[in-house]
Amino acid sequence: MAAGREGGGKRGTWAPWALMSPAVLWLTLFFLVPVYFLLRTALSNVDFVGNTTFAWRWHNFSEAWTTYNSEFIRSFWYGALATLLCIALGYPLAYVIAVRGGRWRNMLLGLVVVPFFTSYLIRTLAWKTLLQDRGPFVSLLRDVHLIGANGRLLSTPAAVIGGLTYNFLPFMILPIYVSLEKIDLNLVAAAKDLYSNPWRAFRKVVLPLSLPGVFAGSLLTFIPASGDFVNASLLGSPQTSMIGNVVQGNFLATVNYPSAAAISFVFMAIILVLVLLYARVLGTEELSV
Amino acid sequence: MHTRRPTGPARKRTNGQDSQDGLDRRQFIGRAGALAGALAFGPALLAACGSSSAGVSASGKGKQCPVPTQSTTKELSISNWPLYIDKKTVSEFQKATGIKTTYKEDYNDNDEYFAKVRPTLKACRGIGRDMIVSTDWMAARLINLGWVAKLDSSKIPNKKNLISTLASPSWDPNRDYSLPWQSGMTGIAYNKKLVKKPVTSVADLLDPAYKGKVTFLTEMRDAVGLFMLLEGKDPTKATFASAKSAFDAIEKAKNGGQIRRFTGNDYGDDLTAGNVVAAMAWSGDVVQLQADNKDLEFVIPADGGMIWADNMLVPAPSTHYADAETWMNYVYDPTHAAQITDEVQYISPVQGVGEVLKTTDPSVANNPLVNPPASLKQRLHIFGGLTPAVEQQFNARFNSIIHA
Repeated sequence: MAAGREGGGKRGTWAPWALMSPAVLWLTLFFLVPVYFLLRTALSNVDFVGNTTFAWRWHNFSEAWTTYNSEFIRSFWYGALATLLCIALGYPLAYVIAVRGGRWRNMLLGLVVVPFFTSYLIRTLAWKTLLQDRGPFVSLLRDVHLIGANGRLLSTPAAVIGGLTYNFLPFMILPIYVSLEKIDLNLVAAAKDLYSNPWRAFRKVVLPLSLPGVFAGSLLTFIPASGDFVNASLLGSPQTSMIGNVVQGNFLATVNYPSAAAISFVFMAIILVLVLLYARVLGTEELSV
Repeated sequence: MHTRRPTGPARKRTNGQDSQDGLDRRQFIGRAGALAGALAFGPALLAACGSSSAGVSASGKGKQCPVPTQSTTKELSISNWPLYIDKKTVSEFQKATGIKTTYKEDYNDNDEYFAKVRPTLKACRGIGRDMIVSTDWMAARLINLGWVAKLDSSKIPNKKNLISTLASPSWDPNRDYSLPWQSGMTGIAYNKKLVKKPVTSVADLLDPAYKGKVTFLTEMRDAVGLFMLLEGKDPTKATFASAKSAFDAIEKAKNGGQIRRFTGNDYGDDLTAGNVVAAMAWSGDVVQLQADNKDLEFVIPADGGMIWADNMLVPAPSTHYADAETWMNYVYDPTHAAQITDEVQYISPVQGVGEVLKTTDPSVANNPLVNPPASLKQRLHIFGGLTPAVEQQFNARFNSIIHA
């Protein structure tokens, strides 16, 4: 800032800094400082009533992985499946709204978002009621022999992945819609002029142009879905525990803050690697050609 | 920032409003998504919030929090377990004493509640409650940490009605810091319409026919205690070695998909809805749950059940000691205590409740869950005290089962 002021009359030299400062301040206060405390806690010892002592205990990290690797793997697996399901459900819907929606576009888009005016927790609890073992829906599935006589949906991986898909679907639909909506349909017409059939025109023109939306939607879905604990704790069983449940348990029941912090760090590290890999494969730079 | 590719003729604008210098819209969407995603670290944030307040200090016997300036308004705020009081006592107490009382059923699990209030109590700041109700071992921990206010016995003359068996626990020999709220048993609740034959033993919870249809308690002393009894071990003298096979059995049941959930007091929902066939449960709750589902039964397993007490404690930073003491004195009057017992059907710690009930509601007075006969008492066990080091060992083992 001081250097900027020495620039004298040139407003342009300090204005960008001034404009950036709220964001920098925000990130420092609410990202860097917490990350510092998180790291500090992750390297601490703890007693059984939650008092932590800083101790450079790197062991916490390896312990986090060795103790909970199956929950880590399950989290990313569930997150990935939910993301794929969101693409499968969300892309066609976004496509129809963007391309065929006409004057109903805004209303249809509104309908996508409206259910989410209700609290996340309430919606998930509602699923718990709908999927009850002796509820009408499960009875129907039993009657048509889609599930066994003793079968159930609640407290199964299917319920957890379904819940994640349901809860994060709009985060997939909206970015895809935005990218589809920007596509000039004349390009499709041009492709057809060049003897493309509709499928080929979609594959060669529309799909590549909409991939940035899919990319953004996938990140917005996959990252929070993998870290979610609400769906697994309400719709799952001890066998569907995700890493969020482990963090929640360590943090909100057993006051093992170092373990919770170390798990969070390992989780962040894995997410970062996965996202970078994903960006490498489906990065935006490649697509802007 | 990356270097932009040259924008040659090949990169014609499609609708004229797109790529200006800098990021074009599509790139922006991608970037914004990546950034938002990177910030939404999920559980990391949760941990980050608390770690700063976790503080750094050595463990050990805590210093007593200083006595805060007491409030002059007559107010009382209580946290208690669900289904643990009748519907009239609070309003009648309020009318009789003029103390504005807020009664919350937000104590679902000892560990959970501890984790919630720990940072605040550690800093000797108020938790918005003037009374909480903790199970024996948790009460011992909180008193030991110095987070509980000392009671003025002269303000609680009815304390004389405390039954002798609960009068002097090792962790509060004179009941200077605590008074029992109710005592109760841990056994098994089951839905008689959904079981093949009446449940009589913890072993029945492991029946393959009930796979995914039973719940266990997150209360370590209850879950492990019941399994120790099943295996012929004595939970009153529990050691990490003697509890090993109980832990292993619970872990095996969990890994095999037998256990639908580990629950606090919230086991009632799945049980009344019929999602669960049998559950580890607390005696009085089941009587109240029967109002929602008449098919529920409660049984003390043949191998034995657990017995415990929950204790009224006043958090040291409370500014309403006097009102809390007035409440304790009120509920230790046998008439008032009997009214609560009549509804909750736990074992009352107040002498004389049985006599009152014999006239007001003989069926409850003779209910073995409320007034356990000697033959039943013999089968009930208190989980033994654990030293901090051993408790940590127990907790670590148990938590690695239930939270993973």
